[in-house]
Amino acid sequence: MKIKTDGILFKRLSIQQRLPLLICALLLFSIIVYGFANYYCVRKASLIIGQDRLNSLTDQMGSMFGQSALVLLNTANSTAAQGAVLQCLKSNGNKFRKETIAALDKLHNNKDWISTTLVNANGVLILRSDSSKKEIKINLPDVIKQNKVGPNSTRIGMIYNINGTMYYPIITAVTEKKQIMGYIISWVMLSTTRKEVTQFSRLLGTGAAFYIVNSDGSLWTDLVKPVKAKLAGINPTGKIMEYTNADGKPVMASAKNIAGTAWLVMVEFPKENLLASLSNFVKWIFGIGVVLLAVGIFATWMMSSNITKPLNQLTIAATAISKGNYGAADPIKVFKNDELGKLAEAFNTMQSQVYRTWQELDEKVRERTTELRDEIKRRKVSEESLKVSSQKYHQLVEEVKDYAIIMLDVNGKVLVWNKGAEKIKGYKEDEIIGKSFACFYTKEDFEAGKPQYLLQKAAQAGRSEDEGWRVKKDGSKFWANVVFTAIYDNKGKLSGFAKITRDITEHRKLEEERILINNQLEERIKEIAIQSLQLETVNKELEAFSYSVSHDLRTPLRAINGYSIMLQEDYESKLDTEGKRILRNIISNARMMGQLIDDLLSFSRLGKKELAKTSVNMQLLVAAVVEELLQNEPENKYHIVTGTLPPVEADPVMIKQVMVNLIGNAIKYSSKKAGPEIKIGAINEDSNPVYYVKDNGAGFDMTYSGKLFGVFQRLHSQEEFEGTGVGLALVKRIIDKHKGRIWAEGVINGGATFYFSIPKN
Amino acid sequence: MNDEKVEILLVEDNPHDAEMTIRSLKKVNLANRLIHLKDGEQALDFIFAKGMFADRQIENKPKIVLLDIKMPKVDGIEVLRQIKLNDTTKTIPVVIMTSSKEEQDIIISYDLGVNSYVVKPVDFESFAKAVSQLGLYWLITNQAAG
Repeated sequence: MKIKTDGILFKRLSIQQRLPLLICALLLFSIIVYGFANYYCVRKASLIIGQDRLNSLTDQMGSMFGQSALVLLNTANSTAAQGAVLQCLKSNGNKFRKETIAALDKLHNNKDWISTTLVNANGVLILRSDSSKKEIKINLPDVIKQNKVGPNSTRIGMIYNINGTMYYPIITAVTEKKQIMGYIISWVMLSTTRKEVTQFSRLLGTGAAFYIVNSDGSLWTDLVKPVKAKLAGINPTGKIMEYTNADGKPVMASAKNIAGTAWLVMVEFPKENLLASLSNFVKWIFGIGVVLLAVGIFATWMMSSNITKPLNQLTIAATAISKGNYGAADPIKVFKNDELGKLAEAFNTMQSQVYRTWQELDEKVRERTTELRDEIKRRKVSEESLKVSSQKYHQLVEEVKDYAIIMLDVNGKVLVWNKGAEKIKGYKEDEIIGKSFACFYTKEDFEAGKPQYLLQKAAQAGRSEDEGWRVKKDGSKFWANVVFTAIYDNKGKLSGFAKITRDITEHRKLEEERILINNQLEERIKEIAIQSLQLETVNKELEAFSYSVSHDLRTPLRAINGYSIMLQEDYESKLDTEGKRILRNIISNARMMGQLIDDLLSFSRLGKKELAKTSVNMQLLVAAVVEELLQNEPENKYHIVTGTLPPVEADPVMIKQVMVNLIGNAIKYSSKKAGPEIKIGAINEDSNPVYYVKDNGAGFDMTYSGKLFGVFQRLHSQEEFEGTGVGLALVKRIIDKHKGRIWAEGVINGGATFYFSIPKN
Repeated sequence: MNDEKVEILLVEDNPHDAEMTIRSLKKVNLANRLIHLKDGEQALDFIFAKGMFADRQIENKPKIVLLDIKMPKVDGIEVLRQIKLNDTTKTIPVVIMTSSKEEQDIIISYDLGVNSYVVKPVDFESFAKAVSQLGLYWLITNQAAG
């Protein structure tokens, strides 16, 4: 099976193919991931085990070599401790020479022990043992410098390659009081055979190798011969080093210092030996993976064919329905009761319902088609009638004379023009059609963009209205009310405007006049307000004046009168008749003036007095007034008759003043009659009574009746009847204040009648 | 005149009015114990025993005060107010005499507790009659008030 399939190819495959392919890919992926993860884990573990083994081997080797070195060193140490050796050194080889050589000879107990020498602290040769097999040709001071040996100690020095043979020195410090006096240097040959080394290596493990290295890295050896340096630097702490050896194989190595020597031991393992078990493990994993993959492919192939089989059936049936074949397909066979089985069942139900619905729909479509056909017939009829009514409407619009009804297109060009428009604006239909309505506007309005503004407003809000000057064809202006209405086509798009204009110049003139009058009226009201303010001031001044008059004018008058009377009382006897007459005249004039002042004051006071209306019993009031007045008339000659007097709604103090004045007048003007008669009564007692006071006295000339109620107006002379001419004026003022009416009838010498009435409330 | 015997205190700035008043009272023998003061300030000094009347006894109250309204310095209304506000003097009968029938004056006077009120008529006889009647009434028939 092809796993690496490009996207497009994969999409073309059926579900039956795609499903196993997908599962296999998934399986393979997990096997690979799992295998690799395991491989790395095992590899890591193997390497750790190898490293441990390497380390312990190196440790063992190091300590093994160290042990054998120790044996050598002890022997050398004891030799150096001998007193003869020290003495010999101190004497520079002159003393104890024999004994020293004997001691050095004892060290030569091994065939590899080549030569032993004694040198001083600077490495200068003192003597050589007799048993030395041959002389090692080397610069001894350098050897001393290269291998640093402390006081009282012995050390195995570095390996030197001298003419292809490897030697190493065992150097022992000869010490006195911690001062190194010289050294015993024994040279040993490194003479291990290949066979010995191979055997030894086998003990370490297959493929393992080991090397002895000078601690400064100057010489590498496999103990048989010097070898090439395996590494540039060497780490003697036991840390694992990895590199590729001369055979090109990756190896691991570990190195350790060997105690008491200037040597390192390094053990080397090829990595492949360590990872041998790992390759076995990988083989197993791969094998298991292949088996799993095979089983997986087989299982999914089976499963997908099981799923897709009924799905394929469903697909065929659905395709048939989509092609409009609602009834033909056989029901899908249901095998199982799982999700697919239920799907198939649901599909079967759906299919039957779709078939039924399709049948119903088909029937409805047929019905609707018939209805539509009828509808079209009906529409045709109504369109006809609409056409007729539209024609009638057009006639109507055209004939309207008082309104200019104009249709505009979207840009404001005139489309329809009625007779009213012609009458108002002066243009004939053929002159204006197609021209912009903007020509009806004044130059100022046009420049201010008013026509466009009104159209835009109507387009946005559906309607706009304006009032203002418009221009007729002949250039004259008229004041117009204009309404624009936006018109839309049946798709809701703006198709134009209806414009209705009315000439309201007359209306406006009237309106302007009205405003003018209103303004004038307001001006008047303001003036009146100012005047009434002024009047108020004047009234106040008048009050102050009358107060002043009442006090100050009366006081000197009172003095004139008083002193005249004193004169009369005290000196009358000394005056002649003429003097007496003059005095009397002074007195009576002073009195008269006092009376005038009093009357005037009460008259003016009345003006500012508030009415305190109440129901007044006129019967009682008149009786009291009559009695009071008669007290001043000692002659009981008056025949006074009082009729029934209904009560009146009035200020009692003021109405009393009225009755005092009227009855007083009646008494005064009838006083010269032989039989004075006075009648007081009321006419129309029930509803709105008219009171009257009638006498048979002097009467008056009706020609002058207009003067009766004026202030200071009198119809009789002072000599005939005394009086100030204020009394009736006061009465009239009181009646006026009550919003009542007073009038009089009189005949000269035939008496007078005064009537008054006061409205109720 | 010994002020202890004062029965009528006449406060009047107009000498003519004062003369006529005194003449009327003389006619009925009431002017013997009358003291005439020219303005409101003097009247207050007399009644409350201060200023030029400081050695007077305040308890020696006049039997009646005849008081003109329009006077210089302190007017009659103010004198009336002070008399009626003081507990010692408020029982003294006060008669206001005025040239006018101005209602405002009359209302204020009655509010302050005036005992009687006379409008000085131009007619001297009526005035003399009114004054003498008042004097008689308050001095003889209304003793209890003193």
